[in-house]
Amino acid sequence: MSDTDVIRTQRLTRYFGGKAVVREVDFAVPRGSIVGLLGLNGAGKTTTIRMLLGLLEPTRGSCQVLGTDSRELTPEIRSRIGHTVEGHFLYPWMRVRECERFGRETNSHWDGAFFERTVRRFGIDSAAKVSWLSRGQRAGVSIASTLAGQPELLILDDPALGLDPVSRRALNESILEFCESGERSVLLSSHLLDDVERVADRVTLMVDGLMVVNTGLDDFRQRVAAWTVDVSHQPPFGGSVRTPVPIPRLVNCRPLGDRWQITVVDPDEDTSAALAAIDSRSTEPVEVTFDDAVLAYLSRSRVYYSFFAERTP
Amino acid sequence: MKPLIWKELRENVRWMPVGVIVVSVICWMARPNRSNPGGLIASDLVTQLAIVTPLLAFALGVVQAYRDLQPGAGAYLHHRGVTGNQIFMAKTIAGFAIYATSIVIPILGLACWIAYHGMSWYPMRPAQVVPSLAYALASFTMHPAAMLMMSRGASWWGTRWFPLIPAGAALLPFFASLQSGGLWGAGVSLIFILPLLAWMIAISRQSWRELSSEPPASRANVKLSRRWLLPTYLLIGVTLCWMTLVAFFIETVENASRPRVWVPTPEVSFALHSATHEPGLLTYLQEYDANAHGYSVRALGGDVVTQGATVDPMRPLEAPKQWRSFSYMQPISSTWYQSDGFFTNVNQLQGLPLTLAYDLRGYMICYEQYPERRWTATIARDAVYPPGDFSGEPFLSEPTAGSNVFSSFSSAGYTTPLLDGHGVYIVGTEPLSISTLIDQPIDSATLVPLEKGHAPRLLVRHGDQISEYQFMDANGSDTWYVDPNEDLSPDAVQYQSYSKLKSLKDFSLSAKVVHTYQVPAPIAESTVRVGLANDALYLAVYDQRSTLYRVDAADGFEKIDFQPTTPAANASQDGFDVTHLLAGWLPGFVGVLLAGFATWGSLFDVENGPTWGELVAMPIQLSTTIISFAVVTAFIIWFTRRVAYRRGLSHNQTMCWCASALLLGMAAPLSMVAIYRQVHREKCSHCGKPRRVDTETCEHCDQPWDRPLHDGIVMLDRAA
Repeated sequence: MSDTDVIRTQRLTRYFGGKAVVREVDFAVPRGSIVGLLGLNGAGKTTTIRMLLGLLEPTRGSCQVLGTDSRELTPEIRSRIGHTVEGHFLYPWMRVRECERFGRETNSHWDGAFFERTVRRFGIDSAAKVSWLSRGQRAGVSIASTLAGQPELLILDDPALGLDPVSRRALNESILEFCESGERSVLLSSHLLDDVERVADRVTLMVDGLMVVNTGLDDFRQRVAAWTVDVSHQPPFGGSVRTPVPIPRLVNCRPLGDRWQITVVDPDEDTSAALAAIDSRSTEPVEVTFDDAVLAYLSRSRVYYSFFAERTP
Repeated sequence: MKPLIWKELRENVRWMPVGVIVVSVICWMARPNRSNPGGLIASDLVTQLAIVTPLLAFALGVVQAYRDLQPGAGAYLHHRGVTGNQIFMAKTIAGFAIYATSIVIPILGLACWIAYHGMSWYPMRPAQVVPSLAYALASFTMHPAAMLMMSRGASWWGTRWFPLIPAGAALLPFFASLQSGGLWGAGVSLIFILPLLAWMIAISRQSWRELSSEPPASRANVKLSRRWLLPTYLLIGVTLCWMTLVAFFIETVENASRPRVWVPTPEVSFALHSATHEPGLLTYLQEYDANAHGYSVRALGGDVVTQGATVDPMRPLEAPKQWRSFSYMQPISSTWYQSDGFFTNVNQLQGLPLTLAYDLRGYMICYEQYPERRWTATIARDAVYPPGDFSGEPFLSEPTAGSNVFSSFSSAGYTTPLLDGHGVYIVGTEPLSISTLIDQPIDSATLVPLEKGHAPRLLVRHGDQISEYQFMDANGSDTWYVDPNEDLSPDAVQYQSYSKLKSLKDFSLSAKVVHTYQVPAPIAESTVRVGLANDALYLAVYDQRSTLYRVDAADGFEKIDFQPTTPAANASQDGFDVTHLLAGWLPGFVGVLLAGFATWGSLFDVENGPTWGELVAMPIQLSTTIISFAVVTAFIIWFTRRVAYRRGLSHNQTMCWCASALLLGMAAPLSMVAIYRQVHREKCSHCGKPRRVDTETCEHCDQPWDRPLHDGIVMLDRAA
């Protein structure tokens, strides 16, 4: 494992019963980066995170977090990892100040000022009981509790789920403030693509238990291209476009009214030749946003294709 | 750990009122009152807490474990500078504090109530709550057992609840010993409760610590040498489950096949001819007598016993009523009435207008019922004392238990004397008094009837000496005794009732030693039955039908060996039955134990123990059991190998478990299911055979797993 990586997995695989939910995953999170972990429900994101945190043991393969095999994380190393889960679990009977006290007494590197600042950012009264708080406020206390422990690595599992825009903005600001020093790393699992685009500098994408993308955000955006083709004059062809020459590195092909949008990764001359061979009235390049690129990957597994070679028709 | 304990207390203290209310209701029900005048508070409390406290501990364990086993809560708790061990110990300490408080508050309240009222209404002492506290402590084993159950990954329909079985089973002996054990029983139980609790907590802690790992079978199904606590516990649990299941089936089958009509069974017993004083071996039959509304005993036949003779116990008798069966020398150490280890149940002694309870410290506590219930006197060995005065000489054992020896006195219309390990006493009324009739140490005693018109003789045994006492009135005669039943068969049970018993105090009785007999050395340690002849005593040991001892009052004894004709009873009982077929499902160690006992019994002639002779005398039943066991064991070994394959065990592990299946029976493969994880297999792309998914290489062709194929769209940069 490189010294610059805070997370590194090797052929990480996890079965539940006879079903593989994470399969042969190799990826790394460089120190100081904010990595967005994306994928559909059931893609294996939470299972991967639980394995990274030592809450679940890999069926085979291994993962290292902060230089230690995650099966052997000591309390000292665990305290250097911050983690929040979706729903932002807190003890409902505690008051906010009791959450702070509990965190202070169970964390060796507690930053009370950071906690206070974050709680204020979410507009929370420290005398309030957790059970009285709104979902967004609970998220604020949860994120404040996690970040005030000054972890080196922050692993967030869908932290913005169900939050209002203001709370989401406060959450993102807190994450960015936390990473200001450039020494702290974040693995952010989320379904909210604009949040990921706003805070992450790297993106990883899991589909059906496999990791298919792990690169910089800009690189990801640049390497994905799309065209629209007008094949309305052709008879229907099995829900897709008739391509005399197979399009290399085709990610997705989806209908847009009378036209079809074809998304490709790393287009080159072969791609141009394949597109030219299509009997279309017009072929036009379109701008690919981050959302479009991610959705192209995610839609591919659900609707048209599979990423597993053995399932490819 | 302090914040963790505080968190557990704060989170679960809401359950405490539930425990307090439930235990308070039990204390309210257990307190003595007019509808529950027994006064056995310790026994009642332990009985009622027997179900409630394990349930409370179990429920607390479940709710404490459940929340932090959820992914969100678990992650929240684990990602700080605390260990799984600290979390578990915090839960245990906080759980015990809540549990103990919810039980101790009501029970101490009851103790205070008892101390306030004292014994003025009912025989009760604050110390009576101690056994229930000890039992409640034992019941806390269900708390770690519940946490262990919750932390296991097994199926609810499978072996997940197995941890509850040993913990629950361990409570049974404590219940048995504490229900009537008193302070002594509580003290002895505590010696075992504390290690039991420590053991349970250690096992549960091990399981909790391994919780976060949930390792694949390749790591979990390795040698158990360094983590034996949990597997051993599961092995015990599964074995208990299996034995209980087999016993349940055997009991069910036996109940179903048992005749609904009671068939009286003849019994062979020694008797003495009342005229010739010859000993005999008679066959008696106990039958229901519809006219007398009770059971009566009838002699079917018998024969005189002489040295070296062949005796037929079914030979027709000319005058069966002239035979008196031997009397049983009744040990007097036991308590006759039900006791909770502090007091006996309140009862009425015949001839006394008071109710009595025996305080196990050695005193009879007397209560007047009307017009007001109140403590009126305390009877000690030497005198009667006022209430609250325990300065008298205490009895050695419960005197009414010994007075059962004098049951024929009460059936003849006399009050019965008291009897304890120090002597025999007569209680008088108006005024209440006690006087000593016999003053000698007593181990066992029996009353033997004499010829008509004479008081029965009391035979008292102490060590290897038996003294024969004659009861005489003021005139030195024993003709004061009149038994209205004497004209009837002495073996027939009579149901007489008397409006007023004749007080023995009125006869100014005294007791004189008539003879003293030496118990022969060969039977000095045995419990004996006796028949009294003129100047001689016949002794027989229970279950020995071919030897009799005649002891002369002067000196010496004669051993009478004879040969009874063997009844065909045993042979007729041998035959095929489902019980012995089912017995083949019992673990092999039960057979080993039985064989050990039979060998011991055969070598050392142990009383009441099985012998090889008895086992071999039932060839059909013995062979049924052996064949059944062999077939069942073959099936179990096949099943064990199959389970071992599904669990991915090594060859050596499989062989060890197969060997253990011989002793443990079906408990062996079931334990494997409980201890080891199942491994899953997939078809190997190289050799085509099913390979384990949790190993890096195929166990058949040693090839690693293929990487999944992509179609060119995977985007991994250098940093990834």
